[in-house]
Amino acid sequence: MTTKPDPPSTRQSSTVVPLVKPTCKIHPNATVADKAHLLGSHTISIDSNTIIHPQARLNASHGNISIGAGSIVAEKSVVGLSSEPDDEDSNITIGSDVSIESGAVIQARKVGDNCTLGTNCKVGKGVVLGKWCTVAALCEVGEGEVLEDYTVVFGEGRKGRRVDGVVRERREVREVRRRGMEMEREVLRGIVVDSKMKWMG
Amino acid sequence: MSVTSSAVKGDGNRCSRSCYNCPSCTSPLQITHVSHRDEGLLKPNDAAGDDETYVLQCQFCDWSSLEIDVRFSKPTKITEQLAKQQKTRTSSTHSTTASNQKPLDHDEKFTNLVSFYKDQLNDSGDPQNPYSNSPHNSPANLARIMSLYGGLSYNALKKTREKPQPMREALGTPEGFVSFHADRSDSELIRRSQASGWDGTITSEQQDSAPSNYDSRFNGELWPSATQLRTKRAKRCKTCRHIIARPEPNVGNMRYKIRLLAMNYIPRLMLKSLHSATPLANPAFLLKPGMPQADDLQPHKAQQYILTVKNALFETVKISLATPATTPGKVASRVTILCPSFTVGPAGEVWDEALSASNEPNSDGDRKAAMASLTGSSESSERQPEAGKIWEKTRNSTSIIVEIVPGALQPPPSIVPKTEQQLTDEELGEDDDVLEVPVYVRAEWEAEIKPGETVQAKKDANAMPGEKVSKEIGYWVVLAAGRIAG
Repeated sequence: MTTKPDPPSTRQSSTVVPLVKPTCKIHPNATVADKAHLLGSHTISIDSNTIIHPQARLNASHGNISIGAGSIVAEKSVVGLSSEPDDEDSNITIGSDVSIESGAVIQARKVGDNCTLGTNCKVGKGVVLGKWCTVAALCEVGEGEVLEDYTVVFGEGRKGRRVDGVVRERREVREVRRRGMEMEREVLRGIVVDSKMKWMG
Repeated sequence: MSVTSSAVKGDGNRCSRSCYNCPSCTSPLQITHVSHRDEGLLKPNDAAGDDETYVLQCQFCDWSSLEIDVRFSKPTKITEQLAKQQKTRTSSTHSTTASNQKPLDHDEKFTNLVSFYKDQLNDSGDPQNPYSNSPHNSPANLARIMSLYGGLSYNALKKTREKPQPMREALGTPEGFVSFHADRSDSELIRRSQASGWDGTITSEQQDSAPSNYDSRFNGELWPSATQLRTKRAKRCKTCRHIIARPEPNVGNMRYKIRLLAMNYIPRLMLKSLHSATPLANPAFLLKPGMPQADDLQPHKAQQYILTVKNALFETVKISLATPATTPGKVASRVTILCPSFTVGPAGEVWDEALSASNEPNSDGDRKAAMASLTGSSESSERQPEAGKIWEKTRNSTSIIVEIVPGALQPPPSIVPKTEQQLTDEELGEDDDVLEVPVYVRAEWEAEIKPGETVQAKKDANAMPGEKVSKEIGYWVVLAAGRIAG
């Protein structure tokens, strides 16, 4: 990928995806792969312990992206609006300990803490996901939907949703999940070569 | 894991081991273990012996058997453990609500009914009949006969008639009879569905997933459904009854051992122009229809083509090609195969091919070919095709030269005026200008009979394993060279 060394231009949005390096605020503990694609002219902020895989795409062409602490963005996933937003709020806020699995396309306005967004799932524009939500592999969340905490999306329509009582009621299950994330990050830190300086400089 | 058909007859068509499907989304459940240490707050007394419990967890939708509060002490014999837990669950609900006669579940009702009716049949059956040896074994018949002969008084007759008790129906719960009660459970159901709403209920598909879920109504009442068994059948050819595909005992194995498809046998033919660098575009894939192509064939201009025959068999194959001197159809083109019979080397595994290519990168022929392809000034332009000579040969393919002289689309003008019939004959239909060459390919090879080979020709039936048998196939192919310019 080619990036221009000059600071991001003053224009706020454009229809063509410009090859401008976004302003990056990356925590020193975060891991951003060399082959990750960070593009757009807005700000991308990545908090501590977050891991961005190679070939993951963070597109800040239409708004700021902030990713919370301890999240994982897997390869071939796309975070960012693909086109001009319909309303004012064009920023994407992803909480902490969120796992965005490979091929997921995330345009949500807000993703709560500890969510799991499965392989090749699609989360539309303006979606607000609560805490501990799960979007199963290949499932879709339509534009503007608001999902409450602990929702599991595993199919289509209202019957493809359910509130996961186990996760809601049981602290130990949440703990197990958190530990799973921790282990995954541990492994990934050994695999993904960090080159965040490329994006910060 | 395969299950014999006798086991299926006995145990039903669901897996009786540890395979379960998610009742919520039907994907397979996995046995995962949760350690007890983290549950210290909930279960402080359990820390004694077993440190771990197991739950069934759906990897897709995060359903877990914790939703119905089911844990397992060991990761094997899930069916047994599940049945036990289900039983204790239902019996405990009975004991708590025993006073108001909670209806039994389907299985218990059924067993009660069966035992009751068995007893009834025994009671009212033949053993009770004092005249069981008589051919007139129906009591009504007997009574009629007795009255005919006047053997008994009317009262006595009435008594005997009453003796065999008529079969009665079940009465009461111990006999399996359950009447409808508009009891508390219904209002309870209504209250629950009011509270949870539509989203709290389950779909009929989820209810049908397993017999244990038929009565479930709300989320959190679903039990995992045992995986239904599937059959894997062999496929036979409709005409010759050969087995085309046979299931492997190992479920994960997808390999087909039987090579019956034409793809595995017939040599593949490829036609390429000798002089043009780019491969000949298929007329079917023209970008702009009707656009005169630069590659259109000029009538009466001899063109040379490389015909490559690639072997798919593991034996060396002798190929004979035959073609009519002129192509059939409205436009007759002359075709000459310069070398109609030759041999093609055996095919190998994919790896052989890759390795052999890397083994001899410095061989002279390869380098020359590489140079030729780089510079474009190929030596093939210098080389002249010769009759009876092979053009190029690789490990499992052989190329020869075919010379084609395209015919003219318009017939030569004649002095004699043509009749109506002749004129309509000359009119070209769609795609009549495509130059297509029919070629008959005959392949001969010597095959070794493998011991235990199932596919056998009849005449080879008495050949011993290890012996060589000559085999042959012949087939027609059509090679398309392009459109003839009008």
